[in-house]
Amino acid sequence: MNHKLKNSILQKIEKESIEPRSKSSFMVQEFLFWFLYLAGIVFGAFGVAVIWYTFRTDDFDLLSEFSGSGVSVFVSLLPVFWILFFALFILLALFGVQHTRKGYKWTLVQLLGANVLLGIIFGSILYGIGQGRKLDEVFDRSVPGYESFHQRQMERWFAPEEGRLLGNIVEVDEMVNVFVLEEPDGTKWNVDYLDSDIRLEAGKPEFVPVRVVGAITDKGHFVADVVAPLRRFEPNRIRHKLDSGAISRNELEVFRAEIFERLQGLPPQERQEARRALREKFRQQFGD
Amino acid sequence: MSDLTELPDEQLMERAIDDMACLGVLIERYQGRLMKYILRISHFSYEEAEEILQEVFVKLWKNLNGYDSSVKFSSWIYRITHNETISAFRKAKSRGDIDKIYGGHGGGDDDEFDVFSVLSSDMDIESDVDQVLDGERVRGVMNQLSEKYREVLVLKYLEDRSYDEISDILKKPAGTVATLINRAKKAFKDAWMRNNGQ
Repeated sequence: MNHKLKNSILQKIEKESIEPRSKSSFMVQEFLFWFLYLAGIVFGAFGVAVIWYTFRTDDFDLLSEFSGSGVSVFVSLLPVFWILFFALFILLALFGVQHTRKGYKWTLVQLLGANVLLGIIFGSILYGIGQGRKLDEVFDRSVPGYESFHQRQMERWFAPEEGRLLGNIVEVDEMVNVFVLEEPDGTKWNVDYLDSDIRLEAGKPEFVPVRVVGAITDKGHFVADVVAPLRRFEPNRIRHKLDSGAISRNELEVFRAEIFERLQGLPPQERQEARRALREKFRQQFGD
Repeated sequence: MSDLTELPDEQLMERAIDDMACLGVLIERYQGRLMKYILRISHFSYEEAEEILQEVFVKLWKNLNGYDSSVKFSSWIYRITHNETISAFRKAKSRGDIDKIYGGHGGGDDDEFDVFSVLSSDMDIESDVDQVLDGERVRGVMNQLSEKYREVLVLKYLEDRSYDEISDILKKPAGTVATLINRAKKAFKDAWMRNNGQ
């Protein structure tokens, strides 16, 4: 076998002009896998930043105040898009690092654990420097169909008939324990906070954006059970539409009356669906 | 040429790009043991194994510049051989020849039976030395093992490779290799006892 095999191999190489792959092609291949790995970690970290931001800013602190079971409300608040975003890029990083030269030295669990940990560490740093919010806003502006969690939060609290109000405290009367709350669309409510749980920093109503859980007692009057801070408050889409003239105050009032009428008396499980239909109708009528 | 044969593998690899004679030395140095390895882990005939071996060295030539010198050359060439054998097996399987691999005739040399006896004594099977030395029975047991167990046993006990080398050859973490070897030994012992009614 000795010389026969050797000669036939060398002849084959020569006859078929088989050339070794260039060094640079191996380097490019290695670089691409490392690039995939780094891209996966960086983008995954951005996902973590938005997830952190959502957890810190959305309504997780008021889970027990929502109707329905805590678990189902918790699940409905989860930033599913960003969790999937994070998972996708962490898997991409895993694929990249596994295909590097030394990638096989570590087990799947070790690599996955390290990737998740790195994603969380860098994501926390990105969150700390405000990138979570920025990315949520960038996606909101530029990705069709993406709805910022903040927009969802605003819509969730645009529901006095369900016992939820959101807006700025613009007047406080401590003598009678009533403050005036102005919603993003300009509607004002007199809120009785006498027996409420005030979760604001000062321990009493101050001129800050708040979320209020309670019930309507009369037209324009609301009694609060909980007053909690709103960590992000900006004029929402509805406010923009109102300011830009895309929708008139009258039209908005009519629409709000319709919301009230449609949702009143509906059991909680049907409300969700009805609110979705109303949101869709609003979009069709006044644009996205 | 006489000088070249004294050079270590890694230096031959470095020089092979400019001097094909170095590739020739590597072929001569490794063809015997790689041929044995292919035959041990497969059911391919000698001629088929020779074709695979030819492909192995052509692949070695093509990937000369991709050799990572932090890995032993022998581990690298075994990895290529292992992959080429698996690839040939898959081709055979797609043609319907599904028993071409991991049911092998084991190379059929006496050394092999000695190694199997070591493997068996490792597991405290000392009751019947004659049985342990019965190559046919040992091969029968190996044939019953799954591919992943058989390949680590062959590398560890027949090719005498260290855990790190097996890790480099199979591209699996060293810890996984250790676990696989332990499981493979247990599977071997169980199959041995089953076959011998113990």
